[in-house]
Amino acid sequence: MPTKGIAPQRALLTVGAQILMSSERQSVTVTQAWRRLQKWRADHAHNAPVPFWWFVLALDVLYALGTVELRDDLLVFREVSGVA
Amino acid sequence: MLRELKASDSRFRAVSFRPGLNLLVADRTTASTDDQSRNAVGKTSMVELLQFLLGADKTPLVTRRENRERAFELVLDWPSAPGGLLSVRRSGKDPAKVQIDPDILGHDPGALIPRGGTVRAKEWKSALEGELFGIREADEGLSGRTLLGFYLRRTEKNGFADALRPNTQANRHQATANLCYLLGMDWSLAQRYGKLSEREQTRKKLGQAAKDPLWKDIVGRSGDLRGQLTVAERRIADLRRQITAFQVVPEYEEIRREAERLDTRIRALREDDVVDQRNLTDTERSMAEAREPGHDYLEQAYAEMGVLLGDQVRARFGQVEEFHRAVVHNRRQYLEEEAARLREKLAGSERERKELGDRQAELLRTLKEGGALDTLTVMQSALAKEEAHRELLQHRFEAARTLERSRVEIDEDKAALEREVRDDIDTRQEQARQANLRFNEYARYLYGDAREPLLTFNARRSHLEIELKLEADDSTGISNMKMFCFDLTWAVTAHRAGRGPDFLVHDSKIYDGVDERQVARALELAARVMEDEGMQYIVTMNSDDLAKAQRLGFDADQYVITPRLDDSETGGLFGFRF
Repeated sequence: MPTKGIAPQRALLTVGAQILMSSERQSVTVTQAWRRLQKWRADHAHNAPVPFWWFVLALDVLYALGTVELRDDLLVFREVSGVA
Repeated sequence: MLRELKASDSRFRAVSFRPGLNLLVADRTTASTDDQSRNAVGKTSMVELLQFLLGADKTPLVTRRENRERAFELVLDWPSAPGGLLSVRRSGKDPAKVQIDPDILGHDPGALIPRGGTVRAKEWKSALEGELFGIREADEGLSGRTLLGFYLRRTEKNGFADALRPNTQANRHQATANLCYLLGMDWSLAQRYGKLSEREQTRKKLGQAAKDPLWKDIVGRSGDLRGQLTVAERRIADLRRQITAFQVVPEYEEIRREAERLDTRIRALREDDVVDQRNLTDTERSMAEAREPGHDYLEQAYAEMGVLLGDQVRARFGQVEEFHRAVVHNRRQYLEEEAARLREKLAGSERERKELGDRQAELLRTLKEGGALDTLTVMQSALAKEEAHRELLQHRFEAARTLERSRVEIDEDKAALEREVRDDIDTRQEQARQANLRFNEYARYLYGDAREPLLTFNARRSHLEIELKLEADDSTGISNMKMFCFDLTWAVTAHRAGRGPDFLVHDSKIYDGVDERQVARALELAARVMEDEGMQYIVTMNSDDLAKAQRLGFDADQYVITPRLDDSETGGLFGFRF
């Protein structure tokens, strides 16, 4: 959650949204998702470092929200009712 | 014996010769002026014509316009011919051909009746050498032409300048050799002086050439050439060694191209490796990151999510945790596989690079040790060239050494020859003594005892000397009479021995400057000797000189032959003036 200590661009929800945008909701491998995120952030001048484990936490959040699941080593994104 | 001199022109005043003394007399007419001197009557021309008919080269006299078409003819004794006489015809127009009648050279051996034939002048000359002098083909150094030069001394060739040479251009050694033949001395020894002298001349010229900046490269000195030879030999040895060690690589170009291809491949592999190495490093770093513990955070994050999002959270913590683990595990597995793949690829690349490197090294070694066939051919032709050069140097070296040694050799040969000649003169004492006696007798007849006449043979370092001495012989007249006595001496000696013909011809020039008393004595002597020896002496004489001799009691009339020449328009030898 964005707080005084956590910049909005690093907030788990923000990062999760970035994962969704960079992956363009395609089914991707974890590594692909990770690379795409890094590229997206570099393209959009989000320079604050995001370690891999932070990326996984963001994925965890998306999972908790039912937006992503791991199926046959692929991350599969889906629409969740009630979430805009 | 000479018999008759004629020409195809009727104006020519044919001259008839007979045994013994023949005086061909030239008169001075009262009408003579100074420019009509008797030199134009043909005294000298007679000798020239005889020479021409006896094989001498053509002279202006016979080739001049007035005489060109005219054939001259000489009749002479020729014991081996049928009838004992031979007629020789030759013209200035075609001097290379001589007509002889009968054809004693036997071009037509089947002919029953001997008849004339045409022979080449060269054949005629050698026939004369054989018939008159008994010279054989092998007698190198004896020359019928030189000998006839003594028998018919030519005013035109300065024949009266030197008793010991037929003319002033004649080679002294050759003249001496021929005189020795006539006098019964060993002519071949005299001839050898000539050979030695020629060798010495050549050696001197070559010796000078060796110092001359232009010629020295052709002749050279043995010292320089020896140095050059050493250099050439070393070069040859080097080339030989290289050629022996050389291995021909049959597909030189193909191998060179393969080595280049290998090089390109090795470079490409190295570039790929750099990329792969960087990827591996990245992957390994990622693996380290993936191990970053996030468990505490997960719980905390889940708790925060519950507070903030409430019922939006669909999964239980246990499910989230399981998802988390799966992702991390998946990621690690991927990275490990990726790292393993990169490591394997790098290792493979290294193996390949090593194999390629070995192969390349092998190819380069082949190329370095050997070469294309072309290269070998080039080396071999260089060797051949160098060997030819050495061969040339070797020849020049030997020639130069021979040249340098030849001075000593010539000196030794000269000393040896001098010894040999001295020995030979000693052994032939009798011949030398007789020649000396004869000369002495003739000279005493002319001058009395006072002058101590002497004819000796001396062995000298570089020539065989025939020495004629007549005391106080510095005047022209006396030296002419010395020549007269000498000529008479060898002519008689040679005729007695069957080595020379029975005639001798003198131009009136030999009586120039001679006291009238001696002219008379000389003619008396000649007449007597010719009669005793059965020989023929033909001499031309001016009538006034003859008159002086007659006044001193010489009975000339019986020796004067026809015609009597004079300086009138038709009185000369040719019957007309030119």
